Amino acid sequence: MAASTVTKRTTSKSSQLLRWLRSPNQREEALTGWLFVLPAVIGFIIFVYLNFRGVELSFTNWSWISRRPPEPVGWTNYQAILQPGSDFLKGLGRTLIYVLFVPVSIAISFSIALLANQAVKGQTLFRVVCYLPAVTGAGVLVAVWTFLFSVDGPVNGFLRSIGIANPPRWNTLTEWKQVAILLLLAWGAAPGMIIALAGLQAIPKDYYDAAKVDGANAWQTLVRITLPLMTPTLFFQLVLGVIGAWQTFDIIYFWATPGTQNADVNLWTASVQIYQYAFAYNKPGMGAASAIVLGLVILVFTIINLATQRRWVNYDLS
Amino acid sequence: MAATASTSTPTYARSILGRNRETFKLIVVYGLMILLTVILAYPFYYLATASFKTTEELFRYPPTLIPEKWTLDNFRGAFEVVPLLRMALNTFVICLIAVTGSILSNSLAAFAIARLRFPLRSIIFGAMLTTLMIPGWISLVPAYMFWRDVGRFTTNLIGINLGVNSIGPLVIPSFLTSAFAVFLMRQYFLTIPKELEEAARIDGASFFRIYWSVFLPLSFPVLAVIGIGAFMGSWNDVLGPLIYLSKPESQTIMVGLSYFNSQHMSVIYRGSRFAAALVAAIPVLTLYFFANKYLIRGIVLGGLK
Repeated sequence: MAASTVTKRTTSKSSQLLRWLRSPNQREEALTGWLFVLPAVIGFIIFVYLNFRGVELSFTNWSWISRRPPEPVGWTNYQAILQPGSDFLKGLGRTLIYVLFVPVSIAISFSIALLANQAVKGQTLFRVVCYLPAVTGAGVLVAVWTFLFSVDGPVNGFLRSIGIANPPRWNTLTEWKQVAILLLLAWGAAPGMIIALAGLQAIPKDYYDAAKVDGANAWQTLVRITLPLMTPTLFFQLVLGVIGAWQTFDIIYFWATPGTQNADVNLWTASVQIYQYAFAYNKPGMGAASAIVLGLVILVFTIINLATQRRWVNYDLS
Repeated sequence: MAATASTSTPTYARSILGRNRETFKLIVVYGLMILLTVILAYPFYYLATASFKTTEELFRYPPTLIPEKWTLDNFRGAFEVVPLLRMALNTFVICLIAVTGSILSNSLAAFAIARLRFPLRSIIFGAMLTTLMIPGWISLVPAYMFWRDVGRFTTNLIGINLGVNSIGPLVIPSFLTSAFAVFLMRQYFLTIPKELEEAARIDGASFFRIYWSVFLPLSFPVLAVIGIGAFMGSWNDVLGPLIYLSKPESQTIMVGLSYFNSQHMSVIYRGSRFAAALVAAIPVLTLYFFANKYLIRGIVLGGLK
């Protein structure tokens, strides 16, 4: 009797389900469960619909103003955005700068975490200050930054005072704007230290005690123990950082706001270009196609990251 | 005598050297921490003081640490360029609805996924997590179409526009959960002992009652993280309001800041831009000041697991 129930349970899942729902208590549990996840399921269905629709719309042509429905045009949008020298490809190229900057940001947040991991007083306050850039909106940061880095601003004042007669014209040349943006990103890398610090604190003390017994100096400890054991955290930051960097929008939007006096086409990233196609140029089909291409680029980079992790990420701890 | 002296001297020297090295290390660590604190806090300090400086003082080098002559002209200028208070109010309304929506919907879903047994539970959870991997840009254009249709539909049905040109697209999604928040809350709910709900169940409490009277009161830290995250996310959002709201008087304050980009080249509005940025920054900074403990703990939780 008991044996047959067991076999039944393992062989037929649906009959198990039915029996399970027959008990009033479990029925109540299942109904409550479904009710509670209903908003999530609705959200998921809309999400899936929108993404499929995104793919579909990328093969169509229409404008927001006309009442005509989107008209299928095949690969035309893709041909337009992928032809050599197109605005979108240039945007992708510019975005690559921020993707390549991700390791620098990680190095900065890792170094700050090493500092914040020292057993001295005042670390809580230090952590709170380090996270400040992450809670501040891009518009606020850019308002301060563009002034600090203006021709007569404090940064150039400082550069002049240390003997540089002709400091950079930060807000006229694209290259110098780019440098100022990268400096803002470097400054904004500090909050990443919270994650790096959590990684550091997860390393068991025994490793450091053993290193001390073996007479390792601080540098050897860092390179032979801390770094290898931190690779999972660094990898996590790299994967998420690259995904985020490809979608850089807010800072560039404020720095080179389309349609204003300080609009600078030469700073626009892929996502700013998507926004421009979709809404400013009234070519939503091209916007949708660019978004698909950006999504594929992100996918390829994520796969490369995941594929290369075996070479350098050390999962001995977990 | 000489022998003891010669053996004790190196020990003494070593301990002095050791103490010096400790002191040296301490000086370096504190020196770097102070340097970084100054670098990280200076832009905020600069923003706070520059907002009260006269235009003449703003362009002086070296920049004055404290305004010589405090002025509110920048704020007056800022309020002339954009309806700043109105925008701040709009943003507050959006943030409060988004916070309510995300706390409610995410905690309900997370409770069900962490604690209730029902068919398709793990499939639903897994499906939600896959949404985290797809960049939002793909749904940008279809979402605008979708909300345009929603707007027409609700206008015809109930006479209220909940689509494009309303805050609907900015707040309704928060009632439909976010996968990351559900994930974070689920992790937290899993740590609450099962005995508590079993006891409540024996006493005849419904599952909703257990969620409401047992789980929510025990989950303040994670609710705070989700709530603060939702507030800051909505407050600092640019793309959403930029697309879905059009009239300046219904815009949010972050998009309001971008209005200064067309004028900020002119000298008169330089200070006003600072004043507006300060007004836009203060609410989140205040929230962060009081709640950083929860926020930082939540980031560690979400980043590690």
